[in-house]
Amino acid sequence: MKAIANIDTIHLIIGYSILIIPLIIFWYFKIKLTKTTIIAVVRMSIQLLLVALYLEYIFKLNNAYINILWVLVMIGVGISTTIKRASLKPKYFIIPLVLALFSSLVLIDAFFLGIVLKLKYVFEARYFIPISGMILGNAMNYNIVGLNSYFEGLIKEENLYYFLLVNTNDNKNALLPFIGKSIKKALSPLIGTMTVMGLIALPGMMTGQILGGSPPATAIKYQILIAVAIFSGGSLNLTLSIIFSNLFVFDKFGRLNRKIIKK
Amino acid sequence: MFCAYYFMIKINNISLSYGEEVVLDNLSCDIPKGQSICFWGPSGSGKSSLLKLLMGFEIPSSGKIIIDDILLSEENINEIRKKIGWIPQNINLPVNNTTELINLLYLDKEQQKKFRFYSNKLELDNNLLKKDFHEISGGQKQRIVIAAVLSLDKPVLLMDEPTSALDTESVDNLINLILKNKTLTVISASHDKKWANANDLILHLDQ
Repeated sequence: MKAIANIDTIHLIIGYSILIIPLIIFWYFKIKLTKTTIIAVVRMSIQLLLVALYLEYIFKLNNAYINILWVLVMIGVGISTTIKRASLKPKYFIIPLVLALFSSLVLIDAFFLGIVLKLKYVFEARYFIPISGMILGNAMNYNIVGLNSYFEGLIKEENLYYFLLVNTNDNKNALLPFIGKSIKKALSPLIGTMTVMGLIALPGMMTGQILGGSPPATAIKYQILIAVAIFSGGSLNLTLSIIFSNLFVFDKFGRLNRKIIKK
Repeated sequence: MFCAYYFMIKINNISLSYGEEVVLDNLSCDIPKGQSICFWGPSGSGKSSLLKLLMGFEIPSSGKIIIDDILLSEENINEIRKKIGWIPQNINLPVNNTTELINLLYLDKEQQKKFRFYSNKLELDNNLLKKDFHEISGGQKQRIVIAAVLSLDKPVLLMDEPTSALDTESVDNLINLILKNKTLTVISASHDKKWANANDLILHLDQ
């Protein structure tokens, strides 16, 4: 198999120029997304550049403690982004979200790296960091959608929550419709993506592996496992996030503290 | 001759404020078991807040509430709620039909029998009960919810504007079924004169 074509600096800059299309669309339709998009692209470029530099060293060192530290940093960034983007107040959510994300990641990593991939050294940088990163990144996105939908639902549909809480006299029964709705809302896009994967959507990881020289059969097996890991990790993390958050956001009368959401 | 009432609900010197705004000021009211009382007053007079106080969804700034000899408090709130059935005015149910509503409220076999009994009394026939909620009127849906909550067989029933979506005939049926039933202690908030006058007691609340 041929080695992957390298991208030199000039062609990287040419690559960026394609962004002119969305920017023209924003300008023409007066959509206020230009500044946000430019900031996002600049941030992405700087972050990925730094990551590339770090990963070079981290992969060479391949030290378990450093690898774990790197993943912990990713967890921290993921949680602060979730809290910010879901418009939640940090003091109520840091502990539950850390517990949820940490336990989900330990379980999913242990299962896929230790049992499915049969790695003798599960903290090996080239598996542990990117696979954890993919699970974390996706889990963060599902949590933003899920937690936002869950707490906004509880605030908007307070009447329904009280109706179920009094009539069933069970906190779990009163919350089930809200939990179900938020999990469905958060995970439906991934279920949709999995349904058409390979037909309409060619996943980034698989494409990257094939471009990097892996045989398509191996790339596909990894892609299947990653999709399953992302889905399982995301659903576990969202469920645990809701369960653990519930311990912090209701008073002893079962009333939701409305101060948990930023206005 | 000595005549003793058993007071199912005792409201003693209750005050409720939202910041500077005083909603209820030193209100007291005892409701005997099996009696009905209607909170009557203009919007903003505290009718719905009083209902919420009885369920522990509002906390009074002073005073106490006792339901069936149990003091309403953090420790006893589950015991209190076991005794209460609650029918709110506006509710956006996450279900499409009666069967899903029965599942949502976890009605057991015995309660489902009772549901059929109350549905019959409220003139909800089987064909109507099989329809999706988007095919029936707001009043029919309201009666289905009332039948479902009644079938929970709780001794205290709280209702917020129970007749708001009902026609005259349905209001009469509801009065006969609920207010004439002397095993239930019924507390409602309403603007409907006919409903209010059919209660044993009316509590006027001023703004």
